[in-house]
Amino acid sequence: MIQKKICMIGDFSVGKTSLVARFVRQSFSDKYLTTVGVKIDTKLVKSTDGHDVKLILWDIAGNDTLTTAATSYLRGSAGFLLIIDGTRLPTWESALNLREAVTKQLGEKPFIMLLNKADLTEQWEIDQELIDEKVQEGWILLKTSAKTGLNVEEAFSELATQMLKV
Amino acid sequence: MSLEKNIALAKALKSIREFLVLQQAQLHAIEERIVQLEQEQTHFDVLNILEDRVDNLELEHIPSDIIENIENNLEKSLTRLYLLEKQIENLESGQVRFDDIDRQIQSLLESRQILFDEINNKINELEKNKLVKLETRLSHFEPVLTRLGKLEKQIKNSELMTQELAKVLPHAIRQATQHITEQMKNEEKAGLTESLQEPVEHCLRHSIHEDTRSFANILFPVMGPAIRRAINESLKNVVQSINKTAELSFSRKGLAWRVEAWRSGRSFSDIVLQNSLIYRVEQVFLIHRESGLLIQHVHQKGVEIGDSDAVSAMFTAIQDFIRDSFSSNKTEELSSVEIGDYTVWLERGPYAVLACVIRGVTPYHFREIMRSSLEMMHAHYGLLLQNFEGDNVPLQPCLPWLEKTLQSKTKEEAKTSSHLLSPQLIGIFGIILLGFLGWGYFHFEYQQRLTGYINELQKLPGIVIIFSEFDDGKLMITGMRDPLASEPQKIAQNYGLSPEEVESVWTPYQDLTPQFVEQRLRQQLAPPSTVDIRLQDHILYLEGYASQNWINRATSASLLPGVQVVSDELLETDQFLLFLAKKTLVPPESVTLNVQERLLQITGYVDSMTFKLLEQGIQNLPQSPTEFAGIDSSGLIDAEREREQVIQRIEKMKLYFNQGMTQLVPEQKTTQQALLKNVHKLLVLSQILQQSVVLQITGNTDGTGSKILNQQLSQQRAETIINWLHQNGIEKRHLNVVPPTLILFGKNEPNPSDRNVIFRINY
Repeated sequence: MIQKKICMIGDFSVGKTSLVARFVRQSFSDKYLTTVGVKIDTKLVKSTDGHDVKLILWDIAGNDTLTTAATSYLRGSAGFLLIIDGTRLPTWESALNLREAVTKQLGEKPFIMLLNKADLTEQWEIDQELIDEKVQEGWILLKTSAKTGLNVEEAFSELATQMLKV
Repeated sequence: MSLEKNIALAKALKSIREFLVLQQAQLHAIEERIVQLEQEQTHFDVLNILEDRVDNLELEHIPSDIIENIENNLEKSLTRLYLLEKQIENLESGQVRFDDIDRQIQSLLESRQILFDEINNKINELEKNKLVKLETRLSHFEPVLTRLGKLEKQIKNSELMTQELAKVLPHAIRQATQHITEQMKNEEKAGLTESLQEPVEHCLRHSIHEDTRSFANILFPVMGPAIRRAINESLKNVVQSINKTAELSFSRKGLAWRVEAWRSGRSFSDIVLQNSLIYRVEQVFLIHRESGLLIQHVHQKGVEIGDSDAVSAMFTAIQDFIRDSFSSNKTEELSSVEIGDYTVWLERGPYAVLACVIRGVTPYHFREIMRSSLEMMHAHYGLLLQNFEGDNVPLQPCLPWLEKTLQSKTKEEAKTSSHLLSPQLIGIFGIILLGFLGWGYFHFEYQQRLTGYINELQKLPGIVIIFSEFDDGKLMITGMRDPLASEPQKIAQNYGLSPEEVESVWTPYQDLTPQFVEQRLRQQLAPPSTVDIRLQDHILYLEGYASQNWINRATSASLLPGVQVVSDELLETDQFLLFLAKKTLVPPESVTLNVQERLLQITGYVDSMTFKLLEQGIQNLPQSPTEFAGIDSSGLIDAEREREQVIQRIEKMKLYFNQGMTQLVPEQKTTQQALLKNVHKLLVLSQILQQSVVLQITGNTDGTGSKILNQQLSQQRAETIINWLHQNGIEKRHLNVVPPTLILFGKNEPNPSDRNVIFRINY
């Protein structure tokens, strides 16, 4: 079975860990995030074309920039999920910067941008124009909700598919 | 020859071609004209038809104006017809001419053709042989040219050249290699080796410079075993040393094992091993170094395993975390983790990490097994490991190496023995005891040397020991030292202590005991040998003589620590030397002594006796770099000897007179001046010698005339000279006329040289 390392990238408190918690049965305690700065879980997914892929999820502690430790943790990653909090516009900008930094570190790798906390529609701050602009650039964006499980499985599955295409 | 013929033929053909073109143009014009005429003929035929129709018409039915009009037209047409007939006649005659010309051209062409054929045949006949030969030779050249063309293309085509060279190069190198052995036997430099040495070295250097890591990765499978083999010997010694240390330990556990060894008759180290080295490798992870993905995983049966992929990744994350957090240069790596009974050992290759989860105490050599397995995997599957992207199927052949590391060793039951005191054990104890004694003796002797060294240092003037201790196999000394004091390292050597055994920190200071102050003064003042320095009760005594500069410097020595007063009895060098010269020579007043820049100058007049005494005295004067640089006595004159020389010069002189007269012969000015100078000198010398002197002047005559006349003339001539000398500053008391002993007279043939005045000195 193919294994792929993926990283969860995003600003502090955008919901990375909640997405992972929604997605997998956790092997390690969340304490790792605050101590080592990363928590690892695994999940078996089926790509959209039917291949089994074991994802090794590296949930890297949130920050608006890449720390030295985070840079080390990124090494060897086959793709990443770029997560923003749809109710906080500044996390969009952070995500763009993080994406740039990650690309500089890893080279061009498949990624999906997750607009998390989609259930909080009344607090939503991300303008649809911004989203459309990125979609036109060829980015894949999904509105997700760790609370309701909206698009969570689909996001990981889609990323697995994208990584297998490379 | 053939070329000229060809040119002539070409010219002929050209003129024929031009003629034919001209004729062709004319023919074409004629043809066009004929076409026109044929059209005219058609018109003519129409007119004839019209005429016939007119003839058939009944004139009474036709109006007269129409008939007139028709008639006029007919007349015009007839006129034109007439003209046309004329033209036709002309054309016919022209056609005849044209036909004639055509025939002429034809005949001309035929004759030219015949001529051309003849020429051609002749040319062919003449050059047939040559052409055949030329063709033959050219035919030979053709394949050669083709080959040359191919070769040129090959040379120009670098890729083709490279391909060709690539075919030949291995064979050439192989052939050259065969010669190397023979050349090496004959101790010659192998050509291939020599040629390849520099580029290969350069390539390696460049490659390492460009990317050290890739080179290290290539060498990894080779370097590991080689290094291990080299350090194995060292490790053995270390292990032995550890065993010895363990044997010497008197811990509770150690004593218990010692009793056990005593009872069983086995070596102590065997018992230690039996009790210590029990372990089980429960899980082995082969992890991709870059991504942390699990490549392969093996484990003991019955061992509970979690999510090995997550564990593998977490291993990697923790390693990264430890390295980033604690490694100063980010290159050190985590090599082991201990948690309770478990130890995780990590070994790294360029592309993969081997992690073994071990329960118990693992022997050190297990690391070698891990390294060896990792190296083998890299050696066989290095490329797959490097390019691993999550698919571990191609790397399943690594499993046997991983299983090899899945070792376990269980505790063996100790065998008891009835031997209590084996000879071997007694021997070991004896050796240990001897070792202790030897060590004790050497330690004692070493301590003695250290103590002796410190004591001597403490006694030495100019050295103050502030602190000393023996630490970590070294004697540490801190103190103060006058730079003029003895060198501590040399003293340490006298006690057999090497620089590695003694570490000293000396702070420089100035010792103010007279011995050091005087030594320091001598070092700083650098006195000449003519000066005597002495320090007594902080008073600096300076005696002797020296240059003024040095004296100035020395007298300021009171500024130096340890000197309170300077007692200066120094003389300036020239002054001292003058004093010395006067003391040695005791010169009379007429002699002057002078010393300048250590050069003695002696001037003055003395009598012969004094002169000789002075000369002897000069010999006794010291001449050296610090005393007289030289003695110039050229100004010291022996007055007696000088006077004798002057007298001799005066007595040789004569002044000549005109015949029968007291007038001097002219042109004797030089003699006169010389006489006057010498007489003055004589008088001076006589005065120095304190002796009176009289110049006796005798006048002579040539004997012409009577005796009385000659006697008078003699007297007058002498007086003339006396007057002249007196006029020139010579007192008359030093001048006296002495008549000649013989007065010549009555001579018929006089001698002009007899008319003179001569001089004698009387003192």
